[in-house]
Amino acid sequence: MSPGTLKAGAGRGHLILTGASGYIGRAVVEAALAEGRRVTVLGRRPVAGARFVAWRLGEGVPEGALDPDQPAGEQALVHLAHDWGAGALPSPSRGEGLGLGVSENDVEAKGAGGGGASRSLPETSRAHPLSQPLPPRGGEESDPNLAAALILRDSARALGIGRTIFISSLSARPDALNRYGRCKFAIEGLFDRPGEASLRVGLVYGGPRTAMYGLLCRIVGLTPVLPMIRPGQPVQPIHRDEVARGILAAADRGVCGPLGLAGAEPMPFGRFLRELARCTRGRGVMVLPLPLGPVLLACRVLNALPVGPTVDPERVLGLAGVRFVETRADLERLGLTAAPFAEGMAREPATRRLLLAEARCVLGYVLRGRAGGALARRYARAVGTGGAAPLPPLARRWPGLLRWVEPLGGKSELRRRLGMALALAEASPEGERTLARGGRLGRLAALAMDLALDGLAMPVRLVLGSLAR
Amino acid sequence: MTVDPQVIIVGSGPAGVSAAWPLVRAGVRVLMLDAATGPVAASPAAESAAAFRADPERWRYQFGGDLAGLAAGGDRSPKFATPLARSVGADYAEALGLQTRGFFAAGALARGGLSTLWGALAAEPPVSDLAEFPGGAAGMRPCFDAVRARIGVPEPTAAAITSEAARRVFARLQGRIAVEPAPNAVLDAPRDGRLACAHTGLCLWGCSRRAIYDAADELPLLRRFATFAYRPGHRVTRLYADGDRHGLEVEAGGARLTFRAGTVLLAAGTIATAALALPRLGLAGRPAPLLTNPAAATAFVVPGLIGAALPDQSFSLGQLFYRLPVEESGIPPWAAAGVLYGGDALPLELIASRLPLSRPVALRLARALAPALVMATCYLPGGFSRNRITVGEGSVSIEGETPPATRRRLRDAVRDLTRAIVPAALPLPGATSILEPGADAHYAGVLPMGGAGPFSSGDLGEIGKGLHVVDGAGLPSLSSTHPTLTIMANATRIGERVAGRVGGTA
Repeated sequence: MSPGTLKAGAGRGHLILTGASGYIGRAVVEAALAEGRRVTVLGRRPVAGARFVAWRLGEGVPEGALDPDQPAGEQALVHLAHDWGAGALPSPSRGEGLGLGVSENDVEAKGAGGGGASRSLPETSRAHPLSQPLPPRGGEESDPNLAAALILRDSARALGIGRTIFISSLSARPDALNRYGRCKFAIEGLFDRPGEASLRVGLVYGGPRTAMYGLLCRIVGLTPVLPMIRPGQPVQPIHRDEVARGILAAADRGVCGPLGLAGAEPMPFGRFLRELARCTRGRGVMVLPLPLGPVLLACRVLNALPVGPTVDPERVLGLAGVRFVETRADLERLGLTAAPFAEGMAREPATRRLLLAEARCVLGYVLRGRAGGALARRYARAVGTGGAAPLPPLARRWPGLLRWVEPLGGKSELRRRLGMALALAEASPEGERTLARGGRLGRLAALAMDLALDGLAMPVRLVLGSLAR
Repeated sequence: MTVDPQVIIVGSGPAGVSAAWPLVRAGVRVLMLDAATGPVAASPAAESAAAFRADPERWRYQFGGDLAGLAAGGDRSPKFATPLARSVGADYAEALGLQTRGFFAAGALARGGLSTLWGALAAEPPVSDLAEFPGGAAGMRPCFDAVRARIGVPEPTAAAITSEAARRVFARLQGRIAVEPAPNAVLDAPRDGRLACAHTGLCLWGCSRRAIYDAADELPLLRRFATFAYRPGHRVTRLYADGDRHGLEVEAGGARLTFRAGTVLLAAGTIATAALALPRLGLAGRPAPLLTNPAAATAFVVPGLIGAALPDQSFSLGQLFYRLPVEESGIPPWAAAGVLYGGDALPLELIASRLPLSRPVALRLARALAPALVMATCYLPGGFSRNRITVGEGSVSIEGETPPATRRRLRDAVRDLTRAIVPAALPLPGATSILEPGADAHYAGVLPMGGAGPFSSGDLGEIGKGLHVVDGAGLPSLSSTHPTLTIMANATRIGERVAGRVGGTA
């Protein structure tokens, strides 16, 4: 699409977006285009399907960004762009829009109690960006993001743009531990006229594994034991698609003031990570509560390695400063419901792939043969929102190994799922074929062999079961 | 009609339709109000048990299209875990504001009430168990005959026993305890648009041939009478006095209506009837006794049938009905009673879930055991139950417990049954369980006929002039023999007497 042309819209307001190439920005563009809206992207590079107007943070809205066929008062500006480099540390998702709570000052505030990890690092690692001196608390007044937002707002007002939506963070507070939260709060204050609103976005998940979501997906894949500070900290996850819908709703509905755009039900961050691991990796993680210092150290060591993911500890630790914010009423104003995290993750294609793999494994184990597609899909549907169960890695290849690890009793998730697999397998044509196969004597002989093998497996299952407890 | 009914019947279950028949036959103008709205879950239509087992759509009937049945389970009758049971029981607890502690309360706002799920055992209690009924056993006898003739209860014969395991147990038990082929209200010949049982074994999931009696099937027959009107979707929420008539507050599709009649018969099912009657009597907030049959379940295996192929034809309702008389010092003689079922049409999952083996082996062992299984229920008379029902403002709470002496009697009865059955069949280790009070779904005796004190009703179940309890709530005692046929006979008796009193106009 060449600059200067606009796809015919289906009647809804033209949308102008900054930060459109980021994790959330792309979702907003996709959702807007899917609704048949006209979209103009302000930024350094074009985004497929939208009109592009070159722009840099710190510049006003170019006049050419407006849709000449529509009154300016019916058009909306969504400001997503955020300069992470402004006084902050480099981040793996720099320039990608929103993350939740980079908390430089958080580190500073707790550094002493955490054993002063930065001070104890050897001199050689000082060169690493992460060990650079941290900026002092305050400084949001001089943050270029604030100045840039002011310029953008004034230009939008001058052009008579009807709605301006600033994308803020749930961590936005005047007394936020981190500069990011204070800066976002200061910017929110700029959008104080009717038709101007700030959306405080919670912990966003789903879609491509980039930004904070991508980072967390990588973290839970690193190790089965995940040390972290404050695993009980409440987070309010919201699916990326819901965020996009919320932003479009805000642009349409003329809401004003700050609004929470985050899951209404808080969940402990530790549980969030455990469920994330289950959905994205098909395994559990043990969340190990740790004091701050060693965690920081681990991140630094990891980042110093030439291979493996880079983990900006400040981004993770930023979550430590998060507080629960009531969002139910705000979601209602946006006409939105945020699905529980498990439900949102269940819709992710990767979760589904894992679940189907699990289905083939446990159904194959029970049937001792291949489960058909319909049966596997039925199993996945029955599991619903739970994500994939933690299965021993070798069992995926050889389902028969489950006999040696199958929980003997109790209410473990694997036991529940094997029970479901049994019920579904029995009520399927392949199950009936398997069970009806052979003559009576053959079946009884096989059963006797099976019972003997089960007897052999019993001690192993007992030991594993007591270890699990 | 319907403008000015002489009699309003609340509920379309076995009691409601049984009371309706003598009234409409006498030309009395009857209006039946029924809370039922939509149809219940569809029943599978396989040609045989074997065809059902191989049916790719079998899961739909077993677990429901939403697979919600997979999460069910528990130690109550498997019939309460089916999609059919869930659709029949839907909204019941919410509508009543029902809360339970130590009690399982089944109920239905569905057309036909709980008979939609009825196990269909249509046995007449022994004469001694009817002594407290008005007119005694002699007064009830013609009503039993009338009900059997109306709904179709074939003469039970040994040929009707489809399970080979049950047949062997029957041979063993004959002469040792009182046992007979189960008298089921299941047709052996077509009747009134219903088909004869074809032994498809799908009883648990609802009989698409309608061979099993369901009160809902009587509604079209009743509606042929010009004096009978039926209003579905009308849930009675309150009774009040309206001069010398009775007023009924009714909720219908969100609207609030009122109905009036000189005579009202309460047949909403024991718990729902209590919820209406107790506040009308000024007894709200006061706990009333609620009878149930304390129940145990157990299972036996016929060794010679282990590993046999599952049969093509099957029947999953009761195969045998037995009684175990008990002499106990200090109390009058009583009897435990129960039903023996074959296991060949049962979901293997129910068996496998109790086997402490790896799942693939448990499934295969369950399959091997299924044709050899005989499951038994064992019920005690309602006098041994100890439950309380309290009706409050828009709420019903029920508390139940099984006293230690009752547990002991249940265990003794299971032991006696086991002694009689061994060695034709062996007890399955760990299979005996004492069920939660109410799991029998035999609820009765909140306002016993001919009783004394505030919680009682007259000989015709009347709790006020022209206001009658005609369902289980009015039973003066609860025999260990399944109560549905008794409830129907009693409702017939009351219907006949009320018809005589009201007089027909047609």
